[in-house]
Amino acid sequence: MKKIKMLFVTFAAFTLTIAAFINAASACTFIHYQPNLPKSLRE
Amino acid sequence: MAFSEKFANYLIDIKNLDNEDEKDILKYGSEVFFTTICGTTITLLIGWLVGVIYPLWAILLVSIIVRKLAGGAHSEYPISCFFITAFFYTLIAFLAIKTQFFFEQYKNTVIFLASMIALIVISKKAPVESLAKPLGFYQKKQLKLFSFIAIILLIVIQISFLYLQLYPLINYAISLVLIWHALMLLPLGQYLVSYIDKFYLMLKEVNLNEKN
Repeated sequence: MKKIKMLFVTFAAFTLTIAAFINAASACTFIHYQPNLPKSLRE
Repeated sequence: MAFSEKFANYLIDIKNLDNEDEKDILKYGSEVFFTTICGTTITLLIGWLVGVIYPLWAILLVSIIVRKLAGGAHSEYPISCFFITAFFYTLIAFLAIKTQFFFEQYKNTVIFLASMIALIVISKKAPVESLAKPLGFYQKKQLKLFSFIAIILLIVIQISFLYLQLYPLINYAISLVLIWHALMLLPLGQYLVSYIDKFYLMLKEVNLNEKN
């Protein structure tokens, strides 16, 4: 059970990181709300 | 605290992340991911309830491509953003269905006008950055080029549909949504979004006053 939980957490963290990088590379989000881009992704 | 932030904090706790940059990236990714999923799901759900799901799919697909490359006006609050996304995209799909007879009569003119408006506005204005997400010099150049290529490809798809007499409703919906995105790149679109934001703030204040 712990292994499945860790697998889920790793997959979720990977997905969210990819989402952050894709958004940083594009002009903005697809919907009409744009959260503040973190400094680490501006560089 | 928003669900997206709670979920990011949960992942940060489990993964024992100490690095502030990694934490910020996860929180940002979570906010972007959940707002996009919620916005898209709510829009599709409303579209399904109203009975406009068929053109709405095409509208959302074109919107994802155009907004990601060309940018556009942004709302300051997630709630008014959900309203703008769900209401206006459903309205465009509804208009496409209800005024399809007009397209049948003037399809060449509609496609030509919508394409020209989109091409001119994108070549002049794209990419439109928001204060929350400033763009670098080279990133702007790349996005301008890619958004121009995307519009050209969309026009090629539309002309192919026109001559093969395929999906007239989808073709018309694409023309309408291109005009909408051109508007969102202009100051007029930004005024419209800021007025919706003001209206949302007013409603929020009224609600607070009623509670007090």
